[in-house]
Amino acid sequence: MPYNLNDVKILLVDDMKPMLTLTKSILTTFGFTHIFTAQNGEEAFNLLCKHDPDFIITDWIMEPMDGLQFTKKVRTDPRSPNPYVPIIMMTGFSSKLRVEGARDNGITEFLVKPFTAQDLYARVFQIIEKPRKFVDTGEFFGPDRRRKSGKGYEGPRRRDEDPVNTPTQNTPEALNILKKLSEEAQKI
Amino acid sequence: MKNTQNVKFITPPNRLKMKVGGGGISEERIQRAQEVINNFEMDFRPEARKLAITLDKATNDAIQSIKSKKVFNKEKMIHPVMQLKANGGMFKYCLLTDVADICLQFMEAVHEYNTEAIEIIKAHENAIQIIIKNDLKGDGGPEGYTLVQELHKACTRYFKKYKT
Repeated sequence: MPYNLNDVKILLVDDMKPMLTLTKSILTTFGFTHIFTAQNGEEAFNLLCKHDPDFIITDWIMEPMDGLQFTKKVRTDPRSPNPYVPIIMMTGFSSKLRVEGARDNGITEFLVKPFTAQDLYARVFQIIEKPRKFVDTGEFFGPDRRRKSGKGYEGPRRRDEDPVNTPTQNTPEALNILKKLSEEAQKI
Repeated sequence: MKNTQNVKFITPPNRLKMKVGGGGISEERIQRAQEVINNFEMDFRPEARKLAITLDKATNDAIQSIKSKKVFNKEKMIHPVMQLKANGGMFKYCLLTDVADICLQFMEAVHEYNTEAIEIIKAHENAIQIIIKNDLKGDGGPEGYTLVQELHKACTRYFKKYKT
């Protein structure tokens, strides 16, 4: 018997419209039906207060209120309907320093972009099946930050033997352009 | 040793689990969701162009600041590169993500910026602009791989020289 997703409410926040639409489509395909969207932290907090979502997926870099400021508000503002709500942060940042900084603001889980459907599902599964305890030290209130940290990434992601999943535009013109760019990079 | 007496651990009710029950989401649904990503047709290029323009302005401002020995905010360069890295691959511009990723890692690792560092960032910026302008989707195949490797080597040469 799979998850019953009919009553789950999600708040999805991203300032980039294509990304917001894409992520909503992925969640809809998973089976979620109540997805509220916002394009910045302020708008998101208003929706949070109105709909009391079961979890939040938010981008980091947004204006005027970014994802970290929004998260802190969710955790500490007296108007927040649920300061324990799981928050998944989507971002292109993956360095240890950035992740630790985000955790210090109360993020539950991190989802590094670009991501696959499987990646997003893994994070959703995590917040359902392995929820973090909350810690209140007086100075920090948020999910317990302790989990095994991954090795930092150094260097190109792609190796020669990696399978190519996305078709390449290999017109002669495109190949020439890429060759010229490589030659210019050698001169630096 | 920190005083841990005031630390409270709280186990909030798992409202989400209570709603969804067990069983997960089927492999079939996950596969369909991946197909949504693979077939998504919304045009990312207008956003990509805006980010490339923002990056260009930021790198030019950085050059001026370095020349006049003024402090500049490197986050103004980092943010648009991060956004290109993050979103390019979601819309089939995998080479864009690869190039932006190298640039992002480089910028995060540099402690003190100089004109040579900006030159390397500019080389990545140039590649990014050309990828966007020519609508180069996919990962560029072997040529794209070579480009990524050459940009990475340029970064490595910089770090060998400046030992950061």
